[in-house]
Amino acid sequence: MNANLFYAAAALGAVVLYLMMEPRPAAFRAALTVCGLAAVALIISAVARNAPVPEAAGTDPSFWVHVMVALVAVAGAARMVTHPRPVYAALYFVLVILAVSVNFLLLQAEFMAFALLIVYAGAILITYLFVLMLAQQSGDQSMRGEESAWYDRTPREPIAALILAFIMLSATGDALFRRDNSVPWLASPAVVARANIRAWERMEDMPELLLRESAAIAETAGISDIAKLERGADGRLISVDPSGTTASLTLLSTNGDRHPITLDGTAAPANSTALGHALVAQFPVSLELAGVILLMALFGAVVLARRQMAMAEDERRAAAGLPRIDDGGSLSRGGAA
Amino acid sequence: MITLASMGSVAPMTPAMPANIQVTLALAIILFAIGLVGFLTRRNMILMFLSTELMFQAAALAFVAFGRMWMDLSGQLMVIFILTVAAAEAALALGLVVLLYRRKETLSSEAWAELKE
Repeated sequence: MNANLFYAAAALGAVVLYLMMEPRPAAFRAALTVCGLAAVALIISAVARNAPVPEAAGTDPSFWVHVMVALVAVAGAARMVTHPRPVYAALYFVLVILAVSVNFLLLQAEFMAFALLIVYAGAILITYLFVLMLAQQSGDQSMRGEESAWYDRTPREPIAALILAFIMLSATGDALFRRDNSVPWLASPAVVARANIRAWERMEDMPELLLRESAAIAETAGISDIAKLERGADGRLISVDPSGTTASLTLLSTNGDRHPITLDGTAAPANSTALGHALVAQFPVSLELAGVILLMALFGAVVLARRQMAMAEDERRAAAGLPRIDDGGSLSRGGAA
Repeated sequence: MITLASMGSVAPMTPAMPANIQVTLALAIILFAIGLVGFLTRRNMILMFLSTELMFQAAALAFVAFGRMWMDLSGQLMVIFILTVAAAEAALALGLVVLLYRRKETLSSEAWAELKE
């Protein structure tokens, strides 16, 4: 990492973010956008310089897609934390989610990309928008004719917050990208082989899928009466070569013929299949706990929502000078008795 | 001996380009810093929670990037749990915010400064 360039670019980004916090004329905003994107590009170029390139990748254009996605995400995030109108801020967060999910696609995490779109952009953000619109109905006294409330237009302690964020960004950037911290950015052949072998083991846990895949391959070679897979001498269905790139197995026909077959990497389980298998095989307890957390959150939300209706009604009546419905003495402050 | 011909698609197990991982991690730390700024400077309670969601996104991005770097699925599995916690947090936090809004008719977090005593 080019440390000085990184710090300078992060400081420029902090200044741009500070200037974005107050409403500005259009030309000034355009200049700020250019400066902010330049700051992000400088951070990226300070970070991704001299990165080793794996032989398999060759001239891979995906780097520039990553850079563009990063620019979109940072622009959306900066606008989200500075926009004076909350609904627009939430919509800019949707833009960030779109950019992040494209990034997930580029990192071969297809399932997570679409889960992020569906769960975040589809469910969580809609909940946020509902609550924002519920709470910003007309007649909000804090608006006073402006298009947004004062507390959405005035940032709180922006300089202290930006200094803190700058320090945090510098520290994490330094820890991650310092030249001598020997992070193995390029996966070594041993890591690749281990990952491949693990993928084949995952395949072996799914014998029906394995049989279907290999029967389809055998069918292209003219063998159609596959009955089952033969176990090797060690009791395993497939034998993986030490580098993990190919695996061999033996198919048994209905008439007892044996057909040896070799699978290469394209037969390994796809992302969502492998992820589902890993979720159940590696983290079954966490999966159950996640279900419990969601259930508890559901109960909690129901309890919160049910309890406050009567109290809000009471508060309104008290504000209008009417007698409370629930006029027990200890409850007269409408409190959480 | 039958061999499956490569279908010309991306083979599942190729090492990631280091530059791509580095850009993604840089994006993650920048998003986290921006989320921190948003959490500290915003006065609207809903947008403060939205800024924490931005920090969740940054963490998820870092998990997936490191998972890709080590060619391991655990990073993506962690993101599933992040999504779970984020969904639970959104439901509960928004329920609380609506409760507080009904009391004071404002979303400003400073209306609740008395709670710090």
